[in-house]
Amino acid sequence: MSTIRTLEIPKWGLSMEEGTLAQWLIKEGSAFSQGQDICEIETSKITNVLEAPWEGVLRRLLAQPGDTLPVGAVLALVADEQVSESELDAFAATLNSGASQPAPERAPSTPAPAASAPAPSTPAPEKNAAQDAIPAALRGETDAAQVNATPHALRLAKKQGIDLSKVSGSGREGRISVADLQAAITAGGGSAELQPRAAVKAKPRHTTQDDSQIPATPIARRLASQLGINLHDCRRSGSAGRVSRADVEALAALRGSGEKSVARTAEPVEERAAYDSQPLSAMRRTIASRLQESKRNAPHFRLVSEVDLTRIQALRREVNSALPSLKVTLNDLLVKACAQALMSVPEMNVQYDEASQTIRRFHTADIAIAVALPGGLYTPILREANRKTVGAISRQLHELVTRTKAGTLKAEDFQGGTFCISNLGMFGIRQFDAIINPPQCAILAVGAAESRAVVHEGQIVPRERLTLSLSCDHRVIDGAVGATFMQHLQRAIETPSLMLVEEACGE
Amino acid sequence: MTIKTYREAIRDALAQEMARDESVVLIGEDLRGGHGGNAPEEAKVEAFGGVLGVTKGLWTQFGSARVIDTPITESAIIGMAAGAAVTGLRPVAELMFMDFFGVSHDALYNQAAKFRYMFGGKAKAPLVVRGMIGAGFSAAAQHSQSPYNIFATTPGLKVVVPSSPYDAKGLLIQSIRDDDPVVFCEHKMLYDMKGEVPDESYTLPLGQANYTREGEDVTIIALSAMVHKANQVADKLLKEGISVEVVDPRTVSPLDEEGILESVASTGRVVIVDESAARFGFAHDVAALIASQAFHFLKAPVALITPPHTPVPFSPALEKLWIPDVDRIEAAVRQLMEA
Repeated sequence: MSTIRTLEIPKWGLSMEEGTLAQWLIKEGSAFSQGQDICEIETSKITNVLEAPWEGVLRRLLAQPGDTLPVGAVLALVADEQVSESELDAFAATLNSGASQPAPERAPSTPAPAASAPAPSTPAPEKNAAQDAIPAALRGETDAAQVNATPHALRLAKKQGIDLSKVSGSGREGRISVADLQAAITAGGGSAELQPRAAVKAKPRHTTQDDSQIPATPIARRLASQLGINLHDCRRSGSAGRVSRADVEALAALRGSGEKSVARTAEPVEERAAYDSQPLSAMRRTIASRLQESKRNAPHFRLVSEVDLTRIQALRREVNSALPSLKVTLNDLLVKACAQALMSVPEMNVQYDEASQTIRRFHTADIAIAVALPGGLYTPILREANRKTVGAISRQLHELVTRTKAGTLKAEDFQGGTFCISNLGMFGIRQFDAIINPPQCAILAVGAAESRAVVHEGQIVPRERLTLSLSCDHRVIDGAVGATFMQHLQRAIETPSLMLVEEACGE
Repeated sequence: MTIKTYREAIRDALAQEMARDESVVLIGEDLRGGHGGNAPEEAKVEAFGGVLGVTKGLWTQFGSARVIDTPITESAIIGMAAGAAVTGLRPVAELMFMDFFGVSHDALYNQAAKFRYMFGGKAKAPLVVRGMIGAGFSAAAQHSQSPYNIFATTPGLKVVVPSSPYDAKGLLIQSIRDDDPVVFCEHKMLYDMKGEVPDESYTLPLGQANYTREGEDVTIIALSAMVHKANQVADKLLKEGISVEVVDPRTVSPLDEEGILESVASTGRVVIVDESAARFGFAHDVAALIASQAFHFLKAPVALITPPHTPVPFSPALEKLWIPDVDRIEAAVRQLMEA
């Protein structure tokens, strides 16, 4: 058999458009069997292992760790030993010439220093200006008045510390061009890359170095420089894969750099404090773009209310002491209370589909729980919370959070969701506002449960209280709907026994 | 350094070269003539010095043997200059309005331009043809064109289009010293423009572009009067943080391809502003150069800004619309920045 087959970026989930090769798990030239782990691919939310769909020999790796490629792009060629290298070359060439196979964004000379990926087996030294070798024979100062050279050659000579009087020019009347300069350096055994052509050259995404060669619109580049943003960290949503202004602004917004900080940070680079640039993970990029989009497109309004936890905490303690196998948390009870409130106010249990201009009203409360991990924010979904008992919710939530932390979530575990709960109470945050995670239309921000002085039955007494802040998308949820929801939620929390009797509400 | 007008810089160059080299002679209409032109030589009555007074004073200084007034016969002027050049003089012929080159073009494009080549280098035609180009003076369709693109199509002719007093002097001296026929195009709207010009003689090489502004985002390539409009745009946009490089090739032939391509390579965005013609003009030639040599550097299509393909209108209002203006250049740069 002399057929050549391809391993491609799989499509894990409807929203997956691209994947980043995290690492190869087998080496080029190795044989593999069906079902064997071939490589790890990072999507916007998860890192999954690509399993071999059939057996074969991995003859040619076309993608390197760190490459971000669209779904369907070819990662590697698989063929029998009998297939010659030239046949593989020819096959690879047909892939490159086809419009369906985008060129991988990488420069072979630069290894991707992604934390999750091991260094390639033959790492090439990373190229930067300091390492460019200018032959000693050429070094020196150029006296522009004495030398016949193009303005760009003069500029480069000055930058690189080259004496142009030592370079011979091939232009009219012996004028020295950039090409002559390049030739002199190469002839002298140097290695500087002088042509400024890299402006339109693709570079690997995962570098923390100089971002001058990242394709970007001039406005984006200028803005990034003003905001102190490395272009490596930005998405490239612009034409021809360039970083656009919106991408820089998205990142700036995510970092909390508002307009005011533009003026403050618009100072010379050398005056800024030292910093490390961290490459953005695919997930972080997704968070950046989606939440930016949400903040920009969804008009948020917020409803804040304070609830009394005395009874629900008593219930929690009672359940936990009666059933040692169960450890019900306040969060579990809040999920249950939210599910019931969503059933009572179905106008809240919606998603907004902007493309079709429709509102999806759901029959079950699929509640997403925000889980913060060092790598980013995950929102696994507890399905049909309205139909589940508090015990079932508690167990499933525990399992979901565990799987999230272990990084073993599947795409379907975090896609969909009709409502989201984000709890920062464990950090002692009293109250905060959350940004809606589209296409969901509301998110509940839960603060810390604490003992507060309140007036209860005419007396100032300490009561355990909690502040809830509901963010709603006003395009599809009106203030009164949100307020009604909060009313039901408050009722459920303050009178938790209702959870026992309103199980089937809304069905 | 002395401040001089473009007109004075040209006169300086002529006077200094005539003083330096006796073989340099001026031939043309009204160099001496016009008002006072009929006065006997002994009277030393200086004439107007061409339509706009560029050669005023030279006849007084160098006499009738070196400053030769002719009737209105462009074909005779250029024919005479070509013949004089091939026999050892260095004539500087003046055509007044360059628009009238048509009747004299045979002597230039089919004779003088080919002498050196056809005689195997044994003959040469060190001749300069000076003339006015450009619109903006409301001088109507026959006196407002910029036909340097037509001259540049002829191999053997060098074509110079200076944009500043400094360039005008240095390039004219170099043109006079050049052993090939040179067409020297002076924009009539620049004659009163002032700039620093050294009193002493100096040359600027033909075929070397000048970057009148250095920048990183967009390259504007412009000639002659258009250079100043490009500079205005560059200065304005710099305040907004858009960095524009302005490349003035200064000579259309030979063209500084390197100087142009290096700038294109560094910016990736190009606007070419040209007053010569809406079709088959300088802009199209340079755009083709960029497309063939530097396509892989381009981040957006090259923008060409030329007049419409019509004669130059006489109406000042229409003429103003006809000439490429600052607003069009600025809009093109902005559009490229968003591309």
